[in-house]
Amino acid sequence: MEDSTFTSKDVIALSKDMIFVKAEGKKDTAMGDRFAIAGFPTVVLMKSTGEEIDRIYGYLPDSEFVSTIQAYLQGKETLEDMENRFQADSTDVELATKLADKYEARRRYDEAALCYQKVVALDPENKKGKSKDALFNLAWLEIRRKDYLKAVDAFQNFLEKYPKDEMTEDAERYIPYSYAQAGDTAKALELYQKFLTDHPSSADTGWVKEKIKQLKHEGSTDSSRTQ
Amino acid sequence: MKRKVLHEFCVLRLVVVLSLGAIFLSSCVKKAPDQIEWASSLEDALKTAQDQDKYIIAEFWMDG
Repeated sequence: MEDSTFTSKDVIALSKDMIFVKAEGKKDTAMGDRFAIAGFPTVVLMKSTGEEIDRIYGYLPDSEFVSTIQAYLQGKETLEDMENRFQADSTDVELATKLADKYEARRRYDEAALCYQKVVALDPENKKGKSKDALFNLAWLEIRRKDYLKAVDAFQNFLEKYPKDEMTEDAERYIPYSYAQAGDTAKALELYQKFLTDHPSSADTGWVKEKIKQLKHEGSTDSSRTQ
Repeated sequence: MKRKVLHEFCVLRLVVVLSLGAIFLSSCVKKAPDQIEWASSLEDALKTAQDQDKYIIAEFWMDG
């Protein structure tokens, strides 16, 4: 962002009322934990007291970055604003999705899961186009929570509902990943190989081959230790 | 000849006065920064923000 958003004229103009500071995720883990940073880049807007107003999770182009910060400063589209609106109308699928994203960006995974479940329940046939992502995100949240066998079930649930979809490949890739994380190397290897057979021209074949290599290497290291 | 020299002298004085005026006025106008100034740490940012009653923007980033 420093080379793009933060060099924009509009962002620089905004900076006259702001103090900017940055933290490198790998080095400054204490600061990351203090703000429950879920991923990078994340920008946290705070009052001068250090109290968080809200955050932006992921990259935004400069104009959107400025308009989001300005909205936050007016108390709009913040977590608090959305929670209040959702209390008034808990049937708003779009709002439930945004709220889930807000919770996820704060590592508040239980609340995020409740919102995604609400989205799926409100629109089971995905007529509003949010339920498919919500179902996928419910599985992804299990990986976030390191409950890998639950993640396997959730991705399989996604595949049952959306067997031929642009996100199917990702779900089929994350199932062996979850098995590997859960310690079931044999199942992970079997399903990674199946992925390569089923999707030979996937953009993720390199990633999958690397995972297979790592698992085989770990397996050979483990067996040499026991000998 | 004398009138021409006087005329040139007056023009030169006018140019000097106008230039000095422009320099004075530009120093009075607060310029927008041409780049963002970053605090060295969150503690530093908090202190400066409290002193100057400003908001804080903290960017968390990672290479790769």
